[in-house]
Amino acid sequence: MVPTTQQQKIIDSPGCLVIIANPGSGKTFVLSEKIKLILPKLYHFQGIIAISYTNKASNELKQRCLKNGLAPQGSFFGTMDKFYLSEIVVPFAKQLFGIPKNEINVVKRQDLAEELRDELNWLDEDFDPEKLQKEHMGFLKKMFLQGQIVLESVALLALYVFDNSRACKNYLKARYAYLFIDEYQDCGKEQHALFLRIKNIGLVAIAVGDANQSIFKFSGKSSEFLIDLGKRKDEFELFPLDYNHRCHPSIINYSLLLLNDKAELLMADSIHVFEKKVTGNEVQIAQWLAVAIPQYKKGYKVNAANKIGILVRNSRTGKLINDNLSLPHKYFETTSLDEDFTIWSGIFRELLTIVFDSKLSKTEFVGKYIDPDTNRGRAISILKAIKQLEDDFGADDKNAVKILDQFEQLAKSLHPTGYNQKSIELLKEIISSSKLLDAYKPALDEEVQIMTLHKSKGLEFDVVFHLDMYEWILPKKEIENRQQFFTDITQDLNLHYVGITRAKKSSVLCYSTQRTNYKNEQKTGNSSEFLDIPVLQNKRLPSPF
Amino acid sequence: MKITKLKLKGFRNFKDTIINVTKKTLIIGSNDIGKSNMLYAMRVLLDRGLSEWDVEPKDSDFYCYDDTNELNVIIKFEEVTEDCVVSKLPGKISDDGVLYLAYKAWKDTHEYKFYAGPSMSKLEEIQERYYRKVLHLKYISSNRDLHGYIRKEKKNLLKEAQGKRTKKEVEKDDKSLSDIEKNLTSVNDKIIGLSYVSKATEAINTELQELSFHHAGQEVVFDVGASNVSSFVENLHLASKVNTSNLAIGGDGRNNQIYLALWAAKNEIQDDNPLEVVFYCIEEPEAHLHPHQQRKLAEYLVNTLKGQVFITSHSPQIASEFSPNSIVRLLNKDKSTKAASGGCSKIIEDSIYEFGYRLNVIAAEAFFSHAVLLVEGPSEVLFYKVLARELAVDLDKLNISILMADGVGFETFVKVLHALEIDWVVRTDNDVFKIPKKIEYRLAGIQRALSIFKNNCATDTEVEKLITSSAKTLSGFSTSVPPKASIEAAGKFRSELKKYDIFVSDIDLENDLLNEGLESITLTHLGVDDKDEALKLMQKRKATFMFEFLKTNAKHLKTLKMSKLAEPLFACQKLIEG
Repeated sequence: MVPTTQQQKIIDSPGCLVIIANPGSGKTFVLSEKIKLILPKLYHFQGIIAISYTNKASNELKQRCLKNGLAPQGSFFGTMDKFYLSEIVVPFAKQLFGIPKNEINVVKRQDLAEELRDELNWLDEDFDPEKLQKEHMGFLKKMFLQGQIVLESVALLALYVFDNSRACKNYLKARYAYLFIDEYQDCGKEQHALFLRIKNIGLVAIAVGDANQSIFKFSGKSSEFLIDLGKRKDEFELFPLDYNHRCHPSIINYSLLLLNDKAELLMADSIHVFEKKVTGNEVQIAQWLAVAIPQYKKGYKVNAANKIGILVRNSRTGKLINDNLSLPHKYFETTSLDEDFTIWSGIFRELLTIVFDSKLSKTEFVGKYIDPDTNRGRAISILKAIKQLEDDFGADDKNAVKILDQFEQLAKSLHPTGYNQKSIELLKEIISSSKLLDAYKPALDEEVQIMTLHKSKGLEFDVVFHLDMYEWILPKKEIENRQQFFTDITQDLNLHYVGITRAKKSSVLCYSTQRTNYKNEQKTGNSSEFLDIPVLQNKRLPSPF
Repeated sequence: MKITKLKLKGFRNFKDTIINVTKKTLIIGSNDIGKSNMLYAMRVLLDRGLSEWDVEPKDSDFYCYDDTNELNVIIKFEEVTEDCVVSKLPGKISDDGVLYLAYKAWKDTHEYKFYAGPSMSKLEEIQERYYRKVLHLKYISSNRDLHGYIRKEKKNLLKEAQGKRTKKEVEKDDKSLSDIEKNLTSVNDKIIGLSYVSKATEAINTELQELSFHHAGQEVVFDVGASNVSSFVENLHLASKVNTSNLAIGGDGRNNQIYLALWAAKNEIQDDNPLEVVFYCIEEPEAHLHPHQQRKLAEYLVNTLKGQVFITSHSPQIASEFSPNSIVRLLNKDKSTKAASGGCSKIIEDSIYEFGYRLNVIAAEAFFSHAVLLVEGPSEVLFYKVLARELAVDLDKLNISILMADGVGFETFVKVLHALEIDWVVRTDNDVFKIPKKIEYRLAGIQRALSIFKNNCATDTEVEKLITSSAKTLSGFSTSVPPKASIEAAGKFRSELKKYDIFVSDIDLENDLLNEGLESITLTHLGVDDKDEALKLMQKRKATFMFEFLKTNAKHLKTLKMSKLAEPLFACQKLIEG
């Protein structure tokens, strides 16, 4: 296999890299080619760290790297958890905590005795791994000294051990020259923190991921961390790796430059990112959309209206468009369940989506939680339960109590330790309201979809109309003591990035001369600061329609 | 990284011993004290040459005086920062670069285990000595097969040099070789053609034909052997050239040097190697070498070897090249081998500081003694050596050295001996010195003896009392002849300090000789009839006088057996014989 120009650039680039790749773009090929160049240059006691998401992926990478008889030297090929355990926690926690009384065993939270399990409930909360409470680490230490490492706490332990053991840092630095992590979009907070720390002790760090494809949209794992790496232009070179052109290259280029003005770009023969300034307010935008959408649909050969997305920053704008758009459309309301980031709430959201959308793969969904190869029986019974749920929802006389119970049972078998009463309450609220339930049903073919940028994560459209490109709104800005400041520029940039990259064929950035604020007052609409970024000026065109 | 400490428990001669070591360590001690055992302990953990079978414990590996069932060998390493080692031992090296490796074995089961960890309390069993790929020890035994090694390495030398040739050189060599081959064939033919060579086998061949019909057509001939050019070249001898004429190499001393030079070259020990950390153990490198070459070799080993080096030796010449704080002196104490002052230590370093960096060879000899009689100068050394012979005190058998404190000073010398736990006896003159810039005098000899006592001996209430009551009278009198009170005090000190083997002469050797019954013999020897005149002559050239005197009058020294002069000698004998 001969590398493409784009792939060759990545293979030859010597420093720290972030590679934003699409499925099928030859990630594994590029990684193995890079590793093959590196291995012969290392001393016999040195190696590289290559972390993949699954054992299967890891074995494949390893085989590809070593197939021509190359010695692995002291390299590590494996999953993140295996790396945490064998290279950090097991050898070095002993120095910090002491030698365990019993042989070290990794246990799942669900297999612990109940009273021990309850001591770990804080793991489900949204906490900052850098500011872990003393008693929490104390508990993990106590477990360790008894020879038990709770699988779900391994990342936390690894971060703690790394930070507190100079010997651990010395070891990693002496032993490894490079750190490769694949599927970075599924990275957790701890993993992201550790990746950056390992880079800072002197290893060359290379992250690969698909910003569009985070499997876990909850439990702290998110493509945000990949996007964060992309923005660190002084530390990493940012490369796109796009082989089958899921998105038009001009959209990829635009999104990469948004993160990092030094990003490596793809070849693009035309520009499919547009800017539209509408005279008037949101009502006039809705009127413009009614005219423009059919034209874009025709121009970009979009065969169904539901492949067009209107994405908004605020649900206020979403409602206004919903009320004023004359084309058939569906507005996905943001529910309280959507705004809760616990594990069970995440499971409920996904279950609701899956139950209502027959096109989504249930097997794939189950596979994210349990390995169907090793737990065949369990996987089958879960799939059956989902099917039952579908039937119950479809029944004429819906039994809300039964349905709720089924959800709870399913969540229990998928993620036993995530039990959360609040999630159940939120779900109950949704099940009892057909209006709220509607937010989880797919749009019909002839319906244009309207939703918030938040809700659009992980989805894709042929054409996206990205609204709310106003100053004060995106990025959100406030005034305090006569000082203007951005409330969360990082999150807003990520949202904007997500919004642009939802589009496969064309992305249209819209604002208007007037906008409606939260008090329903009409304000002058100025363009967003994101539109002012110099490198982006010639990467978009005025909307042709 | 470096080894800083060894702990040997229940192992061979070692009951429970801690030995501190340093970057270049010299291990000394009498025969069978355990020098090689100490090295062997390190080798068990670090020498790649020792297989699993070798490290399986034998009954003789266990300390024999107690009912020892468990043996422990623990090595402490510090400053472990080399990447190759750090990468191989995750979790076993502490934050500040400390590593312990341990070997434990049990007599009843003949089981053994290896351990590693960042501290003594965090040692964990490891399955094998896998770290030896990056962390190991090279050992040269004292019984080295010089000839075998040189023969083997000779081939390697040629081979390596062959490999390093340029293309041009290869071509030139090949041409030369084909010339040689032609010449060889012609030489071979000529040799075989020598009449006595061809005739020499005639008789055998006739016999062979008679013996068996099978031999028909076969014959035995003398052959040059190396008709093959490459085996001819490989048959080269290493020869020393002196002004272009060959000198056969064969002396063991020369071979020993060649051996070490070859070994050093082969191991590339002069280069920093990022791939491994190597320690070196060399037993008795002085073998077969004359004293100057011993020193040269020691200097070479100390300065050239990049890694940490452990050397055992019986040679004062080698010892004098080591700073004394890097000397581990092994000795026997309570049926176990111990290291004096715990091995290389601050105590020794401090006491050596005053010694000057390097010892002279004579002082270094002291380190190999069981007891040292420390005297003033060369005439005392001559005198006591002869006296010992006449009084049948066998200095060599008892391993007693008689050394002069001249140049180093009694106090420093004793401090070093004390630190190395070598028994000592001091005999110093009863000097009276003037105090500078004052018209006052002091009993310097007694004060010196007292100071040696204070710094090196146990506390003694009798002496303490004496110090409080009389120390003042030892100094500050106004005439060079001390007043009666001072002389009395001196006498009391003298008899107390004697108990601690610190002897102060009545006046000095010459005076004492005359006063202890050898006056008439001395006067006769010198051909004078006045004692004062004799003293003048004796003290004019002390050593020469003593040498001449002893040459002809040695037998008279027997009469000194019960005298005060003989006391220090018998004190030495008593220290050893108990």
